[in-house]
Amino acid sequence: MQKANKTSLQYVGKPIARVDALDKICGRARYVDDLTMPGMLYGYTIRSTRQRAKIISIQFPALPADVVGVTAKDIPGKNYVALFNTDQPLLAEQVVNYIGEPIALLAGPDMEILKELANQVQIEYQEIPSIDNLEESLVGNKPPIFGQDNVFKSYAYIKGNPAQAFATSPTVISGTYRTGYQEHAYLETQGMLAFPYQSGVKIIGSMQCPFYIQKGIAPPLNLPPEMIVVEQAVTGGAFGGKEDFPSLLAGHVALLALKTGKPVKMIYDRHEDILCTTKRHPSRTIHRIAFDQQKRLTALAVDIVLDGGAHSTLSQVVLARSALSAPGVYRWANINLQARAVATNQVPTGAFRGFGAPQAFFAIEQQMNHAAYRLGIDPYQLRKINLLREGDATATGQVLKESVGVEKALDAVVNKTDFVQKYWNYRQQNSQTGKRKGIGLAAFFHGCGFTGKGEELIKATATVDYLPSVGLVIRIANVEMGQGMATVLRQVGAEALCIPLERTHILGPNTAEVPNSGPTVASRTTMIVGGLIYQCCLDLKQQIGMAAEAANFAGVAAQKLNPDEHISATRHYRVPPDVVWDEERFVGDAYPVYSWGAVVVEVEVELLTYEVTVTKLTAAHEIGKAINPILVEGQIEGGSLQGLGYASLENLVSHQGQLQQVTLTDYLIPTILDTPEIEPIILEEPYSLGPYGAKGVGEIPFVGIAPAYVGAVENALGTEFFEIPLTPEKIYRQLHTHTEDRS
Amino acid sequence: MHQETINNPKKSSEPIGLRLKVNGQWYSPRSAPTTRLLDFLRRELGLTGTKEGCGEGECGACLVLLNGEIVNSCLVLLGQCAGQEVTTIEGLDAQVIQQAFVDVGAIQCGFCTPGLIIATYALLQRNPRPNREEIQQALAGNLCRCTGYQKVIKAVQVAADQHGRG
Repeated sequence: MQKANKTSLQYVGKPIARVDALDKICGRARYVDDLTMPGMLYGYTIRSTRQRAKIISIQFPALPADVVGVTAKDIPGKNYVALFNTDQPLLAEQVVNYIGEPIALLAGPDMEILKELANQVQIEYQEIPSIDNLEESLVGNKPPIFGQDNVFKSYAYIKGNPAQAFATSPTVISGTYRTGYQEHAYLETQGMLAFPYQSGVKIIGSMQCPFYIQKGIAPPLNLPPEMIVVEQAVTGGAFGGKEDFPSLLAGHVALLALKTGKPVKMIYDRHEDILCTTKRHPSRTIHRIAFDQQKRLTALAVDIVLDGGAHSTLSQVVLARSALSAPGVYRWANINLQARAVATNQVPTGAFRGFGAPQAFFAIEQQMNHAAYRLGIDPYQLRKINLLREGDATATGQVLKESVGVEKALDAVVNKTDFVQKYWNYRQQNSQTGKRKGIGLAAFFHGCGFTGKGEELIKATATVDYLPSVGLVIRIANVEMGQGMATVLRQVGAEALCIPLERTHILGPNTAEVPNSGPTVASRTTMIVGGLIYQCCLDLKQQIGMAAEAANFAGVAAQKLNPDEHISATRHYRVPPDVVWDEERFVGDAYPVYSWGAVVVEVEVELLTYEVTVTKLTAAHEIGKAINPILVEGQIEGGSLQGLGYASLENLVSHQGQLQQVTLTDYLIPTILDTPEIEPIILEEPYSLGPYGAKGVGEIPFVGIAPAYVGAVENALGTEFFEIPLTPEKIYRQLHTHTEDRS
Repeated sequence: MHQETINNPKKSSEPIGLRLKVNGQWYSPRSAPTTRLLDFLRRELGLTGTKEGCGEGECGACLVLLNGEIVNSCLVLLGQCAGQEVTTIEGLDAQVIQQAFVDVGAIQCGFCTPGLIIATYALLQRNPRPNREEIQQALAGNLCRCTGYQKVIKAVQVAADQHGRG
């Protein structure tokens, strides 16, 4: 793809204001709960109160004439939501596998009456021994939830001779790392509206993936997919939480709409949303790394287990990203890797910004922080010795041919913060009262686009039309959910055709009107779909006899086309021929390209209360090209604070299947008082196949925050930590149960 | 798709009985006095710019002005507003603030944005030149999950500067 001359760019690289800002600033943007229809009913879900049980009977109370109740028996087709597997029922039928699993639905005109009726529904259960957490799942002494062994998916590979390398290396660093749940806490809770439409059903709601919903609920509704029309409403944040879960909710409202013949709207309140929508996978990683005399990494042995909850959802692909991220940004000759996602009787976990990578990077980057301490070298130098550089091969043997910005990012944050000097200074602190300072570092990548064969399977398609009277119309299935997609892709179109931004349009995602350009996930939209739009625009130029670099598209089009005539171009994504991935052997090019990042977190730790204040966060991200720098900064700042929440504050635990924090009063997310000064640094090493060199940025800002944060606390306190969220309570407990101070 | 329809709320020029003024207009609500102010605004008046994020006063997405003071409209009952004046995002004259939010990029998903605008408006009314700490204190009741608040703080500073010039 053309690498445009920087000085000639009019829209790309410019901090253009969001195209959706005006509606949002005035309260005019219509989210799904702002929509209503004549005769519309409300929907309500009756959920399991048991962690694991057989359903013996379901008894509705006498229902008023205008209220309808449905159970699994009312599902016209097959009782599952289709994703990779078919194990998630639309409504639980014979068994329930987690507290909050949907069992029955009510629709009626008055929500308060529905809630009263829901309380009167009698469900008789017979308890089954439940599997509470990933350790219990691995023990395997209870009836499995999934398959024969409770394992949703496993990956394993051996590279080189790790056993020998460990045996002959002078330094081995070991640790078992744990990460907790995280709730997305998008400000807009999940919601959907459905109504009978033509001979099928139309669904409007808050979502990332309109075509996932269409495909997911066609089997239970027993409808051909094209008779299910799915349209995205303005979406109030998602972060992965609206990738797979909305299919379940859409299935519920669609079922009620078809049963009642009326529009049905279902909006979760915050309690219901936290209780029963997907979360970030809790993890346990057993990790060993070895170094030679020159402090070069010689071997890696890693065993990752993710808690997938009661149904498989997206766990297999989340796990793939964990496994691919586990080796970090370093060169390895010897690896022994095992990764498993297991079933438990807990709310299903699913997609969340970073998608398995944050858990893996927490482990490897903490290992590097601990190794630096024990080897008596600073964490920056240790990373520099072992860093992947252009021309090196990744753990899976992918040769990094271009756009490898990790060293630049590392140097940028270290130089900006005077990291090395502060690191050693803070190590000398010995005060036992007041505050101590700390500084922590992490380096990481995020593979752009789907993992492995994902892009090949989805075959993303984008179409653009040009009408002289209207301008460019971009037809894609990707959604604006706050990240800025609608602005960025219009900038790409405007730049490619040299037409004003106002003359570009994106058709609101509606499965009846746009081709399937794939879901809005995996940091893929700008790079993959933006790339297709760019190519489509070049096709339009060719159609009217223009060279790719020629500028006056609108003028030539006006001459060659009648005012009511239009031209159109369609492109399908093809994985570059030199990108080859072997899923079975876990060898080859796992992603077309990677974005790279490094972050430094600076803290003050109060020694009486162990309260940690982040004083500064410096984040450098090499993303190929920032199509819109102000939006990229927004991703970096927002992702960084979300990462700090994950690392320090967002405590979500389950006791016997019951989540203990189910409101925003007890599940705490960072407020404006918790935010430090965040300094984003944007670095650009253009990717030859990205639009104007762009790669992905949506997820990477989150990925490495936790180890940098925990590393900073360690630097302040002179001890090692292995678990997040690292709350003051956990710091206290560790310091007062381990008498040995490592310093 | 339609927006939330306005179900013929009675309008009159003088307050009698349970009446309240919303965005400069007097209304006699059909909704019961025990209705949350949030639901009255959204469902009866169709003023959907006021959002429900948590329903328990934690997130600030439902902020409105009640006689010029910020309140979480999910925690206020309609009956408590008798004879009083409510201002929502739809009725707020805050162009300078709104423009600052747009210009600095303080908006992402937009769901918390009306609440943040209301809180900023109330802050600048009582303190036209807030420092960073005062901004953080004033907006501590507004959760935003997208922006990391950096550009929100900047937007308030820019708006304050503009106000100062105006």
